[in-house]
Amino acid sequence: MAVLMEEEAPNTCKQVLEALPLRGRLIHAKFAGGEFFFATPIFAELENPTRKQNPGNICYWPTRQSVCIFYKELPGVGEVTLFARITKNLEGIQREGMKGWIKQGAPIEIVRVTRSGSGGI
Amino acid sequence: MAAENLVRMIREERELIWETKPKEVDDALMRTMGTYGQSLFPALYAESTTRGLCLTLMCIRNTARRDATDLGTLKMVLTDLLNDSLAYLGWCGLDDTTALVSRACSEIDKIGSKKDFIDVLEQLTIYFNRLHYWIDECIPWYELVGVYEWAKKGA
Repeated sequence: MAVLMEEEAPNTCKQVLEALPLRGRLIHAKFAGGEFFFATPIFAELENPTRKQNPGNICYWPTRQSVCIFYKELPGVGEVTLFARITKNLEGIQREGMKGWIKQGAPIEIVRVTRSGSGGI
Repeated sequence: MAAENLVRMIREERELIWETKPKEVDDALMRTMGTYGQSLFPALYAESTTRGLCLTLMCIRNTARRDATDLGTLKMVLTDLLNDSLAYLGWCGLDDTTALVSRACSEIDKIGSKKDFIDVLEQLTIYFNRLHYWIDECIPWYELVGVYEWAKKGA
């Protein structure tokens, strides 16, 4: 589970919420390190730009219209929009990340889990 | 075909490949059309060509949003880029994508506004983004890294 950062990245959060459920298959980063990502049909401008990443950060990468999930601390190779943070089961995400380095393509689906108050996905 | 129809056509093609791997990807990656009958380089070229197109199309999209750019030049750049890419896409065996790009190329000159031009570019960018990730997913990078590191030691 993750909490949306609607104050820091309002437009990206709005576009992500409108596009839910987001479905994809995980691609592992080749340069950046402990990160995987998947394609979205969203075009959003850079907000809340973040380079250095912490485990559990969920970002939107405008250059590739992708949602990126970071499972390790990384110095980062470029700025992306930090729009959500994983709050539960980060360990499970980290396990999937390592599996994804060996074999890509695990299915992922992001859905909304709360309807009012702080957004959760 | 108006820009609106071109956008719709590309979007429909993109939706077809969004959750289902296009057959052309499997076909392309099985081809033994590379030098001495291997399939590694055709696969790597398919990956690099589609990845490069994603980045270049996005760059043109961002440039097109600047007031100083004119529609005529933008259309020429996009048409030349796509026409130049057709040979590589075809050689890699991405036949459906080659047909899509060929149809798009023939319509670009009819686009009448920068807004429509950007709409077309965004659909093309999303299409190639998804296609590239399908190809990327199918290449056994983990095993290739192992072989590469092993080979370097013997070099």
